[in-house]
Amino acid sequence: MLGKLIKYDLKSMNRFLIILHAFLLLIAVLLRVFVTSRIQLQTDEGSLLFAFAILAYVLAITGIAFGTAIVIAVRFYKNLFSDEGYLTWTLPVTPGTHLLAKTISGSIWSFIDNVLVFAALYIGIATPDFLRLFESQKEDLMTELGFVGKYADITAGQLLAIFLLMGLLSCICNVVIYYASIVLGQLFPSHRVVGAVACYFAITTLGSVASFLFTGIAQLSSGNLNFRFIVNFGAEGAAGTGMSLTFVEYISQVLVISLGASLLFSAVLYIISYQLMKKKIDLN
Amino acid sequence: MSGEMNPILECRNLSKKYNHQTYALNDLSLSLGRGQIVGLLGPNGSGKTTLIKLINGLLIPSGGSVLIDGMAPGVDTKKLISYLPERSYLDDSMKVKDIIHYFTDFYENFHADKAYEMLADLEISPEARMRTLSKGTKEKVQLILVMSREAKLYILDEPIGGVDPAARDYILHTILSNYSEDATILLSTHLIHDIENVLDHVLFLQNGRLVLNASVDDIRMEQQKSVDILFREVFRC
Repeated sequence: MLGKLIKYDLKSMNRFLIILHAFLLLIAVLLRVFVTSRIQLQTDEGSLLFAFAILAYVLAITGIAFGTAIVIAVRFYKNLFSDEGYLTWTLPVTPGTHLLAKTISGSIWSFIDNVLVFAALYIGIATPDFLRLFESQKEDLMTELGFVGKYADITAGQLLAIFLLMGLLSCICNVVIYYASIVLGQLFPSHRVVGAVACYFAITTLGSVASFLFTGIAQLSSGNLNFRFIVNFGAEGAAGTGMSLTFVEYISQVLVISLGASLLFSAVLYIISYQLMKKKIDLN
Repeated sequence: MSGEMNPILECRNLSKKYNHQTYALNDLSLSLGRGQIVGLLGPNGSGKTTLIKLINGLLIPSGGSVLIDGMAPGVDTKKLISYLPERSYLDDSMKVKDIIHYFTDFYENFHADKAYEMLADLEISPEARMRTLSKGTKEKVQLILVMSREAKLYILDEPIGGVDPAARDYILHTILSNYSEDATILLSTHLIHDIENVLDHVLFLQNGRLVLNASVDDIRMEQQKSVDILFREVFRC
């Protein structure tokens, strides 16, 4: 039953999201052909155009990521808590299977969105000129960012795998938050949608505060209070020496800690959603 | 007939309170036997839909319990019940044939060939998208889906409310010719006159309470009245 539920969820979301992401890739190709490939990076000429291209990207990516989140949340709400819920809840399926199916299908599309956003960025920015410039500056840049010491041998493939894994985990966490907000919103019978939106803001605020505190406490306990860009101090005495951290060390530490906090927070929200769906929610 | 040894439906002191104050259903106890058509009758707000939603597990009871074939609402009871709600519950963007596929995927006791046969009878194209159909046609599609299942308990909430009299006849004919003898149909409606002749048993609900639980034959024999007339007397405003 789980597989069938996921199949129908994906089918329902595909209609909107394939079009939305085809549009994203189209924008990326158009910007590449008409803007970024014509920019001479070695000169200042075209820097305004480049700034425009970046702005257009940011807007398109933000809009499409927001649209994806809306489609995922609306599918969950509509399928379970609108009139369609009269069919969904009378299928011979447990509330737990419904929640799991929706979490998997929502996370799949959220992850596809993430990957395609990166793909669009790559299509748009990685012109031959840009890649040549990057290659020529690569070593300096990597050193300045702190890819030295134990981080020196990291390959592009490994970095990509780490990004993808972290992206996947954060997609799952986000989807769990959307669903928990909608389920909690059902506890306000006459204002279910407004309740869900209010719960979303409350949950994300709470999550940010918790993550901030969690990260702070973890750093305090490990004794690492700040980081420094080694660009200011030269490469010598970089990773792993003294109290201060390189940029890469700091970012990876913060990412791991905050992702851990998010996973813990999402697990709690998932359990709350499940219990409410099983024991508390009345269909309107 | 209503309280035999192995009932298909049993409610024990069943209550449902909304917003912690109003009782939509209050201390309702009843038992329904198999192989009969039961009319669930009562004015608006009497608790008919609340009772139906409780049986289908769409509401959590505030008190008491409901058992279907001896089981509390759950995966196993949902396999036994074929439910037609009083609203349109199908995804408007789906085609009729996709919905038939959906039912085939999820209900083992769904007969797609039977559904296609009834669609052909009513000249409804399986290729039609739900959103292009009229309200009455949508209701017919829903009824066809519900009656194409080989269920033990059919629960039909206002199945003839939104359609014209000719379609009403077809729907009643569809209901009567598509259920097996040991199955039970619980049918809620305001239009008593139209369905009186097919009912074996009636339940009258008023303000969330059961005020009558009797066989149609008893009503006719003992009270010398039709169900329609009795209803008008009991619920006189």
